[in-house]
Amino acid sequence: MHSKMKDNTILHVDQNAFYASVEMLKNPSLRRVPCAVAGDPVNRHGIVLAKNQQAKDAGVKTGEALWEARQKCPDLVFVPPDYPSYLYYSRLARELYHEYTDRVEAFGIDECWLDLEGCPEEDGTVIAEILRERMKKEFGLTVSVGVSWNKIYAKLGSDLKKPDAVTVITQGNYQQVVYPLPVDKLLYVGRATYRKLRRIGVRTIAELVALGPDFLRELFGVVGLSLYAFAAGLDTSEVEKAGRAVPIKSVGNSITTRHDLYTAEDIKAVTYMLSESVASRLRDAGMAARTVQISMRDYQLNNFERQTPLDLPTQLCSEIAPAAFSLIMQNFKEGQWIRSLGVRACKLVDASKLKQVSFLPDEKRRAAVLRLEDTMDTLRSRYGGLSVRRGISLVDSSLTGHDIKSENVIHPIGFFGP
Amino acid sequence: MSRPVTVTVTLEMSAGGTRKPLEIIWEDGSVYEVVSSRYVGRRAALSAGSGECWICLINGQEVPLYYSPLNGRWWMDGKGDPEPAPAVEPYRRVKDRTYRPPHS
Amino acid sequence: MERKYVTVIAEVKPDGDLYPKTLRFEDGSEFKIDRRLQTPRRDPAKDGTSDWRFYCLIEGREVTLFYNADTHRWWIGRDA
Repeated sequence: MHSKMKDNTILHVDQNAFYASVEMLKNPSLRRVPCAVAGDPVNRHGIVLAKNQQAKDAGVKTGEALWEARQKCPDLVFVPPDYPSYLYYSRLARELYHEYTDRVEAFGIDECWLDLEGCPEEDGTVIAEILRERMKKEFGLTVSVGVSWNKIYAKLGSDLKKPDAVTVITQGNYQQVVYPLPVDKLLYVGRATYRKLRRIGVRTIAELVALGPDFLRELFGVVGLSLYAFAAGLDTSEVEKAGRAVPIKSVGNSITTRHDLYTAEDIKAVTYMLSESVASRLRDAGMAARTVQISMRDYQLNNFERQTPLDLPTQLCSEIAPAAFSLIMQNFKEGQWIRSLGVRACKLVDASKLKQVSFLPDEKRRAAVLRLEDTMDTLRSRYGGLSVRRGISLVDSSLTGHDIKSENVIHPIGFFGP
Repeated sequence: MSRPVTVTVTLEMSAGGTRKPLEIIWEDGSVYEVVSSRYVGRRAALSAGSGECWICLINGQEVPLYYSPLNGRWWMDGKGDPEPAPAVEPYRRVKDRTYRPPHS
Repeated sequence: MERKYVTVIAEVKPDGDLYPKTLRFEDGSEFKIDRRLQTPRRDPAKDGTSDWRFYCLIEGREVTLFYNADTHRWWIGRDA
């Protein structure tokens, strides 16, 4: 039961298989074969950044190592990433969205929320269809659009029908459409949260809602209240008004919590939730971060940002979260009430240059390697270097990214940093 | 299918920033006069890519001419098939002899 | 000296390179550009914009033509 909401329609526009789609637009013959955009395609240490439908049908997954993808699909054609083109089309798409509203919030390079203020749902749906058609006609790219009264449901909607579709989630149908969905489809339900929920038998969004806000708060702290709101369609977070040029130099997530945060425990829970989402998005983009930035806003709306470098470039929540949390706590004053928190991964590098990452996509194995590393160092210092043959070298000596072959090739670091 | 063909364009660029194609030189060197043209905005090309499009009257026919702001090139939809998809490339030999694929 | 915007008829090569051929002022006077003297240069003082500089020979005199790749406008002279 929802109190009467003002006419407000939010769209979430998701470019279908963005990098792959742009490559197929540049070279249409790629539409006829299974293809994947791969970080460093001639190097087996690269990962799949995006794939087309045939590759997807063959079982190729975004984020997996190239040799794995090849095993599933021997005819898979790899195409190196062309970031200038992706950024170009991403910017043009946002300019298109800006023709309809100023409230356009980019979520990564290929997703945007649009707030069609004061627009009733039927008109919002019409605009969604217009955007879908214009993207096809003017760019030759397909999008999936979710239409709803809140950001979370709009994003769920765009995820439901792919490619080239509009899904409307209304007050009338949300229980049929959203509630049966698996709970990890919800934004900010990462692996850790999902596992906790599974352990208490919660699999669907309906079951999450049934737990109620009080129980969820007991289980997850303040974060639980946010989860409840997301699941029940009660999220009221705003679509940020953005300038037209949104440089994609970092990956960040921020949240305004339902209740102000004033305990270390609550702050930690929110930090980990945000970091998990950031880490997952980094892995999807094949990027690793060298710096973590946190942002805090308190009840007096004082905004605060700080950065800290990381020891090693990382895509792991287990490395980003503690750094973010400790940075927040260093700057958190006793008695302060935090209204919103943000975690951002900056100074991004191409993760395929870090050999160990592509060998060890699982966080447990990275931790295992780090332990192994400690052991080997100990052995080495005791018995000399040749006593241990390294099976894996941890960090590629050159983190400088691709060669700049021409002015037009954008160096991943130069572009995504500093 | 259509093949994207980049062309040489003789363009009148007005002081106010409006562009008008006057003449096109095809890849084989033949020169075509653009009798008239009209700007139709951004379009996905029949051949490949997307760009700003002018419909040009050439030899009694209306044909689209595209411009890509990304690389400053002009192209048209040519006859024939586009380039075939790149071949499936074998991996470069890995120098690290101790490399072993991780256990699945 | 203020900017003076001009109409230019130019040849755009398949790789996007520009060869200005004719220059026309607001008053209608037209000048043939003999040739482009060197490859166009980005203005280092204005890096970050898409301003290009073309050194041209017009009726025996060296003239610098400025061009912006986003607005597609040409001008001579500089902002003060």
